[in-house]
Amino acid sequence: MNRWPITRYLLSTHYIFLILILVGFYAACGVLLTTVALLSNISISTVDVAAQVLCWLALAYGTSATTTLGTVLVHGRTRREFLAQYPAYLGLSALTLAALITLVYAGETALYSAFDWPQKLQDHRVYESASDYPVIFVTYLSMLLMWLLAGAVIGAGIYRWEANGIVVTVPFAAVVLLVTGGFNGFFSLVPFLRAGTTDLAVILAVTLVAAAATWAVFHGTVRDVALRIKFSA
Amino acid sequence: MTPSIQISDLQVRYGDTVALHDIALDLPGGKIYGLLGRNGAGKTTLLSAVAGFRKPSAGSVRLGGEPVFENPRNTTRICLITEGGGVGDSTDNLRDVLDMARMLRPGWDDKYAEELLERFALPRKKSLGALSRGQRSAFGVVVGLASRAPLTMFDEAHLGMDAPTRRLFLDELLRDYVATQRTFVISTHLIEEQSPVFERVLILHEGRVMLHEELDELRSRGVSVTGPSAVVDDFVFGLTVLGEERLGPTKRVMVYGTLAEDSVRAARTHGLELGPVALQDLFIHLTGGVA
Repeated sequence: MNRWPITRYLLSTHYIFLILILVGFYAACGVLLTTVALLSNISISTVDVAAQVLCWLALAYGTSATTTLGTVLVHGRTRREFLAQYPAYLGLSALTLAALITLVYAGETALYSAFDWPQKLQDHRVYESASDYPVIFVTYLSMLLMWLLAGAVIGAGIYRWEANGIVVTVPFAAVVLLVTGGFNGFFSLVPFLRAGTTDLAVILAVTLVAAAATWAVFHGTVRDVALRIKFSA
Repeated sequence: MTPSIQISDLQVRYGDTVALHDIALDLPGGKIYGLLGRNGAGKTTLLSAVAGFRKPSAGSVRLGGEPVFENPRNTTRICLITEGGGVGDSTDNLRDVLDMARMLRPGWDDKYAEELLERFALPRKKSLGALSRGQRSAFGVVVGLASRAPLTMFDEAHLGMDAPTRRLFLDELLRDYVATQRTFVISTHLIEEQSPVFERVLILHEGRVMLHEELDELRSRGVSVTGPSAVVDDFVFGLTVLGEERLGPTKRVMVYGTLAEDSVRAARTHGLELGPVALQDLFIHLTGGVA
């Protein structure tokens, strides 16, 4: 019998899908950049502006975790297996996507240098320049992990408790994203939560603690959740 | 060997509503069970609990002596196909869903799945969402049969299928049953159409097991009496009538209960023809009649 069947399935399908989505997303950014360059002067980093969309894409995809759980249950797997194998897939996806994003920053830096365009970053970013690759990688890893997990918790809450799930999980997800956002520079809306640190160990530690807490909530929500059987109209 | 199912004091509650009341069943493996019940009787809830889709509020479900809920040794041996599908996302094409099933189900038979796709004339490259309702149901049947799960259950899985496809479904199910002797549970409202494949019948009523017996035994609970209208009316006077049909001067009345030997002789003397009753008529009577 195959080991880690759920992880293997997700890596052979969803993982590739996420990479293709990211490639498509940056292709669209490239088209936008070209258009702006033809019409006006380039003064800010396109990739950095686009990052705010990535957060919400990660959140939206994260909500599908419970749908995936439902499908694997139908195909004979258990919640416990899912809860053991899904994090491996999620972690690997976040690592890969963060690495790809870092590569895109590198590509943009080279392009902007070639055309002598200023590559201004968004406010509150932890990295000081678009070529600060280790920090870019870690902050994106942190952002992706947390927004994917926050989406998973919200999706699980709605799946289990319907509208009441929003009341419980959205405030929790918002708090977690604000706290981690203070350290990784994404979603840092609350001034007193802005840590202003570039210490990668601190960013990673905060992320891991927040990820563990979020995963615990997700785990508690779905560990015995009933599969919703949909009926066609 | 096909494992048996043991259900002990199973209770499922939805908030204050009790959907299943202390169900106790011992179902030997290697048989085809027909699960009947009116709307809201608890059929889907029972199947969900048996498949491990839902944690029982009380009691237990065991397959081959081991618990089902959250036990991968058993969940991989069970396949429940519901009318809503749930076998994949609506954007997945059929080939992707079959690939997923192959990766997740240890007993998956890919060759058989391909054969079934051909027989049901299902397009591999189409997405689930692009299929008609009947095609989606047929695809659910493909996934259920090709799972080769020792316990395979279909919950109204035929909905939307046209008559030839429903016939094909039952033919394939029987063919596979003869070849593998796996256990099938078919929950259906198409009683007359699907009951010929049942070996045993389970009737759930208001969350309780009303009846669990061999199909032939159940059929023997009623008799149809056919003959001249006036003679039939006299003969069935005082008996529990389940239903009647009239064709010109001839009348056919279905009565509940077995006839005593002298009644059988009297019927023959009066030229009346005795026969079995439709399972559906018995079901309607047992579960409270039409009103």
